[in-house]
Amino acid sequence: MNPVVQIENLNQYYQEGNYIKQTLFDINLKIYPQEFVILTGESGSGKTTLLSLIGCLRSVREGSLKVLGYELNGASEIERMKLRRRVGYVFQHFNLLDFMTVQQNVMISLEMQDDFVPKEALLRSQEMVAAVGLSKYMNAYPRELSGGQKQRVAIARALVHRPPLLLADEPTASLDRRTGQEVIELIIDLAKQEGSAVLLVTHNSRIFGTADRIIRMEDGKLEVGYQDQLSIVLPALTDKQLLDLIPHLRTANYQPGETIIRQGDMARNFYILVEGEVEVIKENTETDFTLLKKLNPNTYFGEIGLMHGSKHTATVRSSSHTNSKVITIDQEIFRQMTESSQMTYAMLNHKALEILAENTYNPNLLENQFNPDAPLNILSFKPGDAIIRQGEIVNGFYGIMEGMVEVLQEDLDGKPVHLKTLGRANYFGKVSLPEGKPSQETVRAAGDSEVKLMVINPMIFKLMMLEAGLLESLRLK
Amino acid sequence: MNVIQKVTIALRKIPIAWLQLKYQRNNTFAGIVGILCITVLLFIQIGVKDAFLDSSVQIPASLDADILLSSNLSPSILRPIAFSSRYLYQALAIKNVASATPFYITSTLWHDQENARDRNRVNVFGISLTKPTLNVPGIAENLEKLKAENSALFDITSRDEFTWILAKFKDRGEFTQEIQTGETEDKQRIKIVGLFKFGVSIAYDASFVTSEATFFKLFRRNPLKVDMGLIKVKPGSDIDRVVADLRKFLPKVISVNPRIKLVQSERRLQETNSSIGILLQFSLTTGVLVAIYILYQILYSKISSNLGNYATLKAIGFSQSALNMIVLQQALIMGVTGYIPGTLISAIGYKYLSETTKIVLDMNLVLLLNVLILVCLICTVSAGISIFKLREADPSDIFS
Repeated sequence: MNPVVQIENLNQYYQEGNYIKQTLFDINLKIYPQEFVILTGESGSGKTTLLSLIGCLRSVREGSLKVLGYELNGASEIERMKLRRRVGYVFQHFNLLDFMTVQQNVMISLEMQDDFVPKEALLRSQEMVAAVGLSKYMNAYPRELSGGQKQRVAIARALVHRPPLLLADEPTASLDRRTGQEVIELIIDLAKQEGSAVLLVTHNSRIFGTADRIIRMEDGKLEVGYQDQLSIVLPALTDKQLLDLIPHLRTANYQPGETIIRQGDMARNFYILVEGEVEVIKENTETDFTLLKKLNPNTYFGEIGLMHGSKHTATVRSSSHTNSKVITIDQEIFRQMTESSQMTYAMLNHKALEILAENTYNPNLLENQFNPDAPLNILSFKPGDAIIRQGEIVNGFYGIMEGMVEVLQEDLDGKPVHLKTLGRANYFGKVSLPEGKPSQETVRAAGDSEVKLMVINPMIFKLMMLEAGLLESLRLK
Repeated sequence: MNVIQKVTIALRKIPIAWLQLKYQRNNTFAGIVGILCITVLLFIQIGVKDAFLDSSVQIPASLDADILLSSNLSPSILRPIAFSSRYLYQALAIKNVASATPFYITSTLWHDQENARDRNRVNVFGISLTKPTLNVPGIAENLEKLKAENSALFDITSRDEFTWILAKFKDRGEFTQEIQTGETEDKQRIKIVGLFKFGVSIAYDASFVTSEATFFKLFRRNPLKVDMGLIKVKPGSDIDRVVADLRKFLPKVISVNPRIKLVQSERRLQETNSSIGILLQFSLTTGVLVAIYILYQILYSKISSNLGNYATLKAIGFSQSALNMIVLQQALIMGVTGYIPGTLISAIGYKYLSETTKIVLDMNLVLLLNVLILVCLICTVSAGISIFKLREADPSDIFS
């Protein structure tokens, strides 16, 4: 299938007098027929420039931009004008022609087509006005319509000639939330019906879930990798959750040796390393510090302090030999993300506990020698070993580090019934229940490999969670 | 697709120019009123200019002759210097010359006792009573009456200062009037015996026709010196050929000109060389420039308020030339719409001016078309200039 938009190594410059500023840097993008692509980014990021280039409204100077198979680099004004007739446009401010009726506003797109037949155009435009639910306003003037109705007319105008490509620039920005949602649904439905690909520029994250793909502009560059990187780092997020997250991502670059977060500072962001290498350092005293580890791209940091609403427990800085690039997610967005994805929360928590375990690991502490006063115990179980027996008083929070466990419940005849199997990054245990209540279930090591668990002292865990205000969100298993 | 199909389709497209005009009623109304005023202005300017030029050549234009002979000392045919009648008779010898008639003309001051009015300049023709001279209504039927001594015909289209003569004539028929001409101290008596129709110009306010004999007597003129010679050629003969023969035959002191061409060249001369002609020409040009400016202002404000619409149209695929056409159409629609009432008002104005000045302002088809074409030209030029403003409609501004 040939793409309706194909951009290769596109650069664009803005010139005013002798002052030349590059606005687009090495853009590469393909949009396929009937695809619904959302383009997002800060204002001034160059997305409007890109949209007007794809919309054949500006001339392309450097690189290749093909729309519907036509190269726009070097295209004349006439060629661009002819191509514009085959594209649909929806604008932020509707841009209806105030001196024409609704039906005429829609029909105008058909008049410029080579196969224009007046009678058919009239019928088709009436049909399209009806399709956006404005039959009643067929002969009304735009001034008689509400914002949402105007945008419906604009959508009808943009799609009446069945363009292979629809460009929409902030179509919901001038509308209230509900109307905006309706307008987007209308665009999606009608674009599907008429077979148009859609490139929609928006800040409105509520509609991100509807897109086939989201691309993001930042400082004139198209950031296409986030979605992939996020899904590697946060595998538990659904596609929709990923898309919702994208508009809130920020990136930051660090020089070699530059500090990203400092131990003891309040945690404000969640970081994902996408390029370079960072060092995690424990500062014991001002002069004495230990290099805990080095992190490579597609790993994250900063979560421990953030999850517990406290200070960073270590310093992270870019390694001395490389620049580093990180994606940052701020506290509030991080909270929303973990609330909407318990899987992600569990996974992050597991990792946090793992790190906690590593940092507090005491080689003298023998495994399977449970010390109820220690904040953390690491226990190993052989396949088939019972971890908790039904009726036993449970007093601990268990995180699975390795292997799998099986949860069973005895029926009335005392016969164990399999309830579920839990894998790595899952939790069980009784923390939120009043202490001393007997377990309703039996948990035992399953599979054929050793199960490694960490058991956190319930008092310590509770305090930690309460402090972070996250207790409610964690449904203990 | 043939041309007719294309036109049919074009006609069934949305009439953007018209819809926009209709939508911006006030601005459009201002435009139409503007054109109306421009139309009236043009009619008056062109009418006055035409009337001036017509009246300035009305003497040669009214003569019943194919070729005119005049002294080459005459500054113009309108102010002839007399020449010897001998040359006139010599002309008769030329092949294809049917007749050669002397024609006498003078311009004098009229002063009558009864009314003690200001002195008015009047035009007096001395004509042959046997051969055709003036080709205007009222001459042929009154030739008999002119045979009487001191009799004269009076121009019914004379200025208001002379209407008493008309009234008096209509009231009691022929009457005798004592007058004083510029040439003589003593009073002369003329008898008004009939009326003819000629017309006034800026040079004279009334005209009289007398017989040659009366003319000689009134103005003490030498009968052997004629002011103009009227030559008629035999039917079917080539006028230019006769002119060439006459020029060869007559001395250089005599100018020989085909009458029609003379009228045309005289008209041109008056238009470009006379001070009034130049003033009128200048004021017409100024009028046209002002008209272009007024209409440009109206179109400019129309385009400015529609810049967003034009940018949108361009974004969805309209060409610059299609937008230019919209503006041109609007200018022409306003032009024709303003022209119609403007013409009606001008017609009333013409009637009023003709009545008061007695200079004929004639709203003929040629003039109607000329003004219409001029209005359309003004519209086109204004639209052409305002297209620079239209170019500001930039579709790339819409994505904001």
